[in-house]
Amino acid sequence: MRRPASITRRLAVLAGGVCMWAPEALAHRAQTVLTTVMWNAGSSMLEVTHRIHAHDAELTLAATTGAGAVDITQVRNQAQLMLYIEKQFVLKDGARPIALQPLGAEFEGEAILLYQECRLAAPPKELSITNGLLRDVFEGQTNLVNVRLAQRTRTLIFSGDDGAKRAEGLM
Amino acid sequence: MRLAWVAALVAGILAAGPAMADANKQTKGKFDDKFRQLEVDLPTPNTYRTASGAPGESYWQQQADYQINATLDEARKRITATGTITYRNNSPHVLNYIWLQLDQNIFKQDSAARRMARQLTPGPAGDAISIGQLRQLQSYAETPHGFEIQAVADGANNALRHSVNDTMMRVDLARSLAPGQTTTVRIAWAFNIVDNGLFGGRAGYEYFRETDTYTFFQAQWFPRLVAYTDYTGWQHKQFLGQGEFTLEFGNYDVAITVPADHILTATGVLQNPNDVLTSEQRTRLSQARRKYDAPMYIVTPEEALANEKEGATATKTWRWRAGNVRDFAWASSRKFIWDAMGVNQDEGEDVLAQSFFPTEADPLWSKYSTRAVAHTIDVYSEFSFPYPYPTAISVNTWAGGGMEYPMISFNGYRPVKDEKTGVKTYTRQARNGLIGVVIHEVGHNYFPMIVNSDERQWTWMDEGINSFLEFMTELRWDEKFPLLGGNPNSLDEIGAYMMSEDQVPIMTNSESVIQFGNNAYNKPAAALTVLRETVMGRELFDFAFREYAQRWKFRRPTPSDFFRTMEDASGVDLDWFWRGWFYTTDHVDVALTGMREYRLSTKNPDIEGQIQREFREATRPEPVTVQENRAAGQTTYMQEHPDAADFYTENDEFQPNNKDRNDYQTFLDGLKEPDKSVFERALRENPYIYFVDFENRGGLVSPLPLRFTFEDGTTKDVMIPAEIWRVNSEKVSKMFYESRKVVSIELDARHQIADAVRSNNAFPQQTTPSRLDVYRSNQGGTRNQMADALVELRAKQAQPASPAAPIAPSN
Repeated sequence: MRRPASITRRLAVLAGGVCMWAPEALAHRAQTVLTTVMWNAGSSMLEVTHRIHAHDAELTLAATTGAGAVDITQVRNQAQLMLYIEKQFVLKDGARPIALQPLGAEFEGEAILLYQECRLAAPPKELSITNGLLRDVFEGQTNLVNVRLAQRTRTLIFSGDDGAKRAEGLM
Repeated sequence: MRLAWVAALVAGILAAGPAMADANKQTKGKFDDKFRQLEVDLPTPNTYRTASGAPGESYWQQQADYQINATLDEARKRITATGTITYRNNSPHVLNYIWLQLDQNIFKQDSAARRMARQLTPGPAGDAISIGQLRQLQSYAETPHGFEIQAVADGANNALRHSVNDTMMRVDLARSLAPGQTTTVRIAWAFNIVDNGLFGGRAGYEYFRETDTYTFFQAQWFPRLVAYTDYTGWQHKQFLGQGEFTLEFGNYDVAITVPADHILTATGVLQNPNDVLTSEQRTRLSQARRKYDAPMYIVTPEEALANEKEGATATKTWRWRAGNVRDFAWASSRKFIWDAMGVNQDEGEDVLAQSFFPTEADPLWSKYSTRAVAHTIDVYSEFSFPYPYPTAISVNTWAGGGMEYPMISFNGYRPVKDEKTGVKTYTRQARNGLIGVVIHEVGHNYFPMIVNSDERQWTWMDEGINSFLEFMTELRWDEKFPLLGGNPNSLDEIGAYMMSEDQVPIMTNSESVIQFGNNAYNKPAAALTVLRETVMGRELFDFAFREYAQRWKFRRPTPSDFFRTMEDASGVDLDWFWRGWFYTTDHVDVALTGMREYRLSTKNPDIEGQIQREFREATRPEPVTVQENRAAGQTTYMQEHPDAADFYTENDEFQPNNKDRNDYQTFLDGLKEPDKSVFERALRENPYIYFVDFENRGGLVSPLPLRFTFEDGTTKDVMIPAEIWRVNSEKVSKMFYESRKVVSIELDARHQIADAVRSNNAFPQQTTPSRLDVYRSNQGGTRNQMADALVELRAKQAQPASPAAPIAPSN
């Protein structure tokens, strides 16, 4: 059989069948999840905080679970959101996944904060992050991840269709 | 503001060099003069813009008046229009051509913005496509977008040569336009309205699938004059999606024909209410103008619901006039509920606050939208000038976000409908979101709709200044209103952004800004909050800010006009502040690294010797070996041989001798007045003297608000101005003279300088637990309900799933 000149691959759409919300016309609040990844030397913990606008969180759960109106103040829905985060937000040290454990959630103003942590012997040396939070629901979603393992803070920006990113120059 | 495909353009731009190279450089050593004057970096003052920041004696700006007739074809989702632009050349220059903005062209399939869009991750890892992208591509196959320019002619209807360059069109004038002259251009155009849910952007239509109904909200819908200015000539930056609009003021006369059952609202004042409103609606509108306490319906929810179920084949034409505005937008639908109330201004004319929204936005919008419009006018006017237009309007056009135009704004936030019960409820977050977005977008009437800054160049001049006023207005709505990250104190939140290495200075062109919201909205808002509450104080700041607003009302300021006016009207040298906050990416992190306590020495050897002896004993305990020897019953040689003792055995080194006493007497005798009285008084008062050390670790010089806590539990606040860093911006020490003993000092106790690292702000040092530590300790021993719920949900999810890999090779 003759070798083809080019190989056609199959590309699956990103939304996974979920109906995407329109990109918002924002001269006001940005469609953003702010995540902080911090090394707590005192407790030897890698600490992760996700700050999600509670209204966005409710729309996200409604879209991804097929539920109707979602009340994010309900603990069960917060747990559902945590499961969603576990699927969409992945940390690795090199090729090794970092098993973040859910700690809990609380509200601050209009945002819900969700906490994850992982006890490690030392801060990760080759931290890479995949952040698909809300990007499967809001097409214009842009996520920021502030990473601070020692003295320096770097920000990784996730938008459009980008995948895993390395957090470099942290130490 | 952003479009889905444009948001990607700037995310990878991480390097931004210095805003501009200084002529003066420290070529030896490392001294960085954070206080070097900004004047060398600002544009040279001239007769258009003065060194004081005011418009100069030769200041000019162009004027563009529009007369437009437009028709909405609801079935085809299409606008057709003709317009006459009357353009007056107030510049001292001869113009051979004029440029028009064709911003609708950003939606063309081959627009520059779309062609610039790229995969953010190079290589196979970035190979992905979304359903939204597929829908857009499919949509283009059926409906083209962008302006269809059908005719361009002069006032005598002679065709004019014109050339379209992406989102701009050059029209070559038949005759050169001399200073002071006016020219007329007639244009016929059409375009297919974009589905805002699909293409995003700042206008379009929204389709409500459940009821098969629409709302239409039109902006960037007609060719608008490109601004021609003294500082850049024609504003030739194309519309790429992020940098918004630079526009000329003018008068508008607009007629819009829509289906007869539509309610239409627009920039300006309706000229023919008798033709388009019912008698009942006109009566209610008249009542609403005098109803200052709460809004009342012009079209009730029930009437709107009934109206949207009908349909009309006939049309009506709504005629509008708007004076001295820089743009014109409108919204139209048979779905609209309409409420309104009057706003009484002490120093200006009454204003009609109005809202238009579909039933899907209620009950949230009936309760808050128009009230928020009225509150915005009250507070913003205090900070700037009385609202000069007859109306301010909030229209619900989408689920979230907002966009501003003169007198009218398009805003989001809606309640959520339970699919099973049909009951609509709204959360605290949706309520605050609505109030916040209405304040922000209506606030834009002041900046940039009236103080007409160049949005295409400097997003912060409208979004940053407006966010600052929005925050001030929100805290006047509710003291606990969440401003940023859920926090009513934005200064606590901005530090996380400002510490990042992945940012650019505020003084960066709009299209090159990364972390757009933080850079152009939140950081300038935080900066102005620090400036008002900490650096300048309210009296100086408010006067200078109002002066800026009034100097540039209906004019076009540049950044230097703002910087200069704030100094000129306050008498405060703020060059260091602009330089640090606006021209660098430094952050505030001041560490309180040391505190040393002293008492004045009396120099009297009999007193000082005893004090030194006690100090030695307090600070140097007996060696353990000595203690253990004694405990073991051991004695020393000297104890066993008293005959070996001498003068030094009996007297330690703190025991004064006659020479010490003579020296003390000589010192006293040598003291002359007034030194003698000063010294004696100081000994009587016996003060505590402290030397406190500070390190500037963030780079951004800052005032030092200090809180002293005394031994008796009382406190005292002291403000050290930022100029303490003038000679050494890295380390400084400061002396404090107190009558009472200080037990601790805290830097920035009121959280007013945006200090990003608070763990080094106290002496003695206090440990600052991480957010997770705080959360954990707050939970105490209570049962973790989320853990229980997770166990249950995980058990449910344990059913086998087949997640699709994003990319599946087929070969």
